Amino acid sequence: MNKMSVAKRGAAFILAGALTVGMVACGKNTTGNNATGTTNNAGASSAKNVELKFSHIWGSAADPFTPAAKKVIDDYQNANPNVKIKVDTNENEAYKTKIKAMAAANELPDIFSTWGGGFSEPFVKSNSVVALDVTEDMKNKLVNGALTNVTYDGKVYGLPFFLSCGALFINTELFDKNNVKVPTTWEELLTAVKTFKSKGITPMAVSGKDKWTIAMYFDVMALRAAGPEKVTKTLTKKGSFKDPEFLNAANRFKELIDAGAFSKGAAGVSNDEAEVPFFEGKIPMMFKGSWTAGKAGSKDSKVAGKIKAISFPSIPGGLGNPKQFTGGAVDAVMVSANSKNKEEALKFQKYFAENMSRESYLSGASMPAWKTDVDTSKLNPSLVDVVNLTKDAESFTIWWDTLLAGKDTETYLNSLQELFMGSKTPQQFVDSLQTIYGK
Amino acid sequence: MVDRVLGNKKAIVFFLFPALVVFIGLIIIPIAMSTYYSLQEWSGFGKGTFIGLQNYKGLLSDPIFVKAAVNSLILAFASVFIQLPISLLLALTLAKGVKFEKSLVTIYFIPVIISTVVIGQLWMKIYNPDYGILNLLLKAIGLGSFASEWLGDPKRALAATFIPIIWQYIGYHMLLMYAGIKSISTDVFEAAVIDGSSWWNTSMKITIPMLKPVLNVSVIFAVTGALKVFDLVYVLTGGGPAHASEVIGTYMVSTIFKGNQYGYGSAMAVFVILECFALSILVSLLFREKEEAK
Amino acid sequence: MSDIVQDRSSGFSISKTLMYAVLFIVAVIQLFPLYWMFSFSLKDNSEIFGGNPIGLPSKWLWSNYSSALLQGNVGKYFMNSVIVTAATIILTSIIAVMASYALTRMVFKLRKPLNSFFVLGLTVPLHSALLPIFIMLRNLKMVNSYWALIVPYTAFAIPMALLIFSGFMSSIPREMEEAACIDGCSIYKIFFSIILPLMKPAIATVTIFTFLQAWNELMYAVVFISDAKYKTLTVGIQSLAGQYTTEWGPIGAGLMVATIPTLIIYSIMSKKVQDSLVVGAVKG
Repeated sequence: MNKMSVAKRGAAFILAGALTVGMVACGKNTTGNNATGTTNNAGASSAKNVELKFSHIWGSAADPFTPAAKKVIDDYQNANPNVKIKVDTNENEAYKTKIKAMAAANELPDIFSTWGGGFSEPFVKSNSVVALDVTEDMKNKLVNGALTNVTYDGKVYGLPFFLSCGALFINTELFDKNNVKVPTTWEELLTAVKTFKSKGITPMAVSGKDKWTIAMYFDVMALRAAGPEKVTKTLTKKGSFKDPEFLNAANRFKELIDAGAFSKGAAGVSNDEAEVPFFEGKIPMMFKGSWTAGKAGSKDSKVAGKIKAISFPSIPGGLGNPKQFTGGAVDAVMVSANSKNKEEALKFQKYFAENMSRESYLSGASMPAWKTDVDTSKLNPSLVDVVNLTKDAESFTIWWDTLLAGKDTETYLNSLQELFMGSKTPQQFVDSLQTIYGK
Repeated sequence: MVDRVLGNKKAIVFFLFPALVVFIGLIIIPIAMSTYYSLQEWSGFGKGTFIGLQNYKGLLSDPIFVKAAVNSLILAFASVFIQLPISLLLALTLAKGVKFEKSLVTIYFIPVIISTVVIGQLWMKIYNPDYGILNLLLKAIGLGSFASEWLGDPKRALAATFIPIIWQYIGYHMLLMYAGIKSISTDVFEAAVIDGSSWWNTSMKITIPMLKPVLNVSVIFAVTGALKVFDLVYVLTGGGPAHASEVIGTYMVSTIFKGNQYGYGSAMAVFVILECFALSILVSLLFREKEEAK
Repeated sequence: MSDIVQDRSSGFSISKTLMYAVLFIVAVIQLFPLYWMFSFSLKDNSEIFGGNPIGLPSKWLWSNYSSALLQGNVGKYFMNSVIVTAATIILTSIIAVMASYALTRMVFKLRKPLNSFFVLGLTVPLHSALLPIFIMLRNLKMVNSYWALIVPYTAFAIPMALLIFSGFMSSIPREMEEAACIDGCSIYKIFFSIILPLMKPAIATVTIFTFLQAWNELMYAVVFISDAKYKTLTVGIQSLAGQYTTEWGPIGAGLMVATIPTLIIYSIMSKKVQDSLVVGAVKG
């Protein structure tokens, strides 16, 4: 063994550690240049060769977005032979950890997929991502409100491509078979729940373990109770959860639980387990995001043609109405502030967002965030159903766990889980929400 | 003479140097960095604010953290006093020479090598309130009233989460102890057998005392492993419902990566490091003391 | 030893029958997850989640294997896992067996404190060390290479290996070294020709444990490697999961493929552990 080299290696380690602490001590070094390791011929014109690193989450063949993302990236490389796009995909949850660690270590790829609202807020606040010049032309191409969740302090930082919204998916076959009326009012919904329950059918699917699935229900009920303005104001800490509307929402949610809407064991069941009975036609109702339509209408679905999307009914004493939806454009791509090839990355960003929007709509995976003219006759009918449902939507209000950031999201989801299990009363739930405002 | 050879300074440096380099570079410096982060209010992005020991004060007044810390200690306790005795009994039984010894050693280790994802999914099937084996079994033997939601019931979730963890690693410690017994000189056993000592007596009086160094290692692994546990809890309950099965590992990860409180999460990490270290030293001292008392 | 004990207790006794019954039941319990993973790998979601969670698949979906192997890029990732794991095992064994010799047998002032110092390695939670280690690796320009995984895996395996080696080494009688010294052996000769051969069962044990750790590690492999050239098998299997939809069957198939080498390594190594008995282990 060569002792000298070992000694050098050792010194290098310790030096690296010293550098590390030094770097963190003086805050984030935003001029650090380690985004790409490729050629960057100064003075060359638009034809210079560039390599863009692109991290995203669509790598699984089980994911309907995967072929769409691949096609868009391939098309761009074919049209721009000087651009090579180096893709890194990771599983959703692992990706979130990875991209945060990369931001903390100044290792962000040139362009990456992310989520609007709370998730990207720290990226923006730490100047890790590029603010975009949004032209009028671009604005006109986008669906109304598509930029809401990627706008921070008046500046746009990301471009979205999907539009997701919450809807109550119902199995028409089960409703017909059991002579249950498709609910349009709160009372009818409760009646439907009780009727199914009395016939031994669990009325609604939810996973108490994957807390966001409970939030799907509560978010829409809070929207019906308080209306979009109040919800947004309160979540952005310009109002108060002590307003009676939120207590009303919590009480109604409790009413739904007490009516037996959910299976008794739901608290310990994961989303994968909880969804299966719905997709097998054993549970008649599930309130979920519009991606459910893509799944329900896919070729090998056992409930294809039986699932219809309806809007959640109004609730008594509520300020909202069924034309208001939860959801919005959340998934987005952003460009790293450290990218060596910002120009190229920004060009690709726009291309990707616009085309990903169309391709994933065509493949029946999601609603587009960009205005798209396509022949809908061949599309997944369940998805078209959702698109039609939201045609005259008044507003989209983003999911709470998306809008809230970090710790606040955890507070919300954990309190909601306790409300769901009955270990918190509606009043206690509302009180703990208010802690988001600080003590 | 021996002392001179065994005190060869150059040789000591030669033997220790590679380990020290890797260890300082990838363990000690990261610990120092975590300690540094733990003194800041830092989201993991951009610049943090130095806040002294506030994060540590926060830990003590955070009821969820206290609960998680207590739960982790319960697991450590259960590992040492439930898991290890089972492992030891299996190792002693197998090492005394039973039929199919080799196959059994292999089979008993299997749960250790199966991915946590699979073990998690399997136990979710066992505990499932609707079709889980456990509830079906209880109903079949007329104890239907004991059927429960297991992972979904705050009163049962902790035990329901710990049982798979303890079970999965029985084979791990069994192997360690088995290898330890196998390296004890056979002469010792032969002598004991000639003396007419029974298997039980031989185990208690000879095998276990000679196995002490390995048992010491096992206890340290069990304690540190339990205090750092994350994977299986995350898969089974995610620490829920309502924090009922929260352990430091799950709480720290959700604090750092979901809550974006890197500083506060690092304080938890430093707490775990100190706790594990103190307990490991304590365990070693206890083992040494007993040895010297002998 | 086994012969002697068996001779003593030959014949059928109740306690013996009972013992075999217990051993057999335990064996069934321990084998169950392997069977279950196998049946899981041949099912679809609706069977896994409710339809038929425990039994054999109603329809054997071998296609899960082809889809896991094709999309998971399993061939390439499998090789990467082999490279990373093998390097980790070799490095860990060499570094730790050397260090533990100095720490258990040699005489110097800092011996006890150093022993405790290395225990610190067991105390670090992997998750909180993620960012510090990532920053270290970046500063060493090791990100996106095999070294990005080998070095941290080795670092985390060393304390464990040290403890195991030390546990075994402390049971070697001091007389062996004394005898060697009288013969005029150098310290290096004592280590390589006397101590090292005795460490075979310990090395086999360390190999098994290091293998498990490196082969199954997921989080560091996800974060430290962005280049598909160096990705490992666990990451490949994980990326079979989609954002909103996950087909668990192919994941089970991938995990099955990943588990087989573990089983093989384990049976070889546990045989090594057992063989030491035949050789007579430590001859005092």
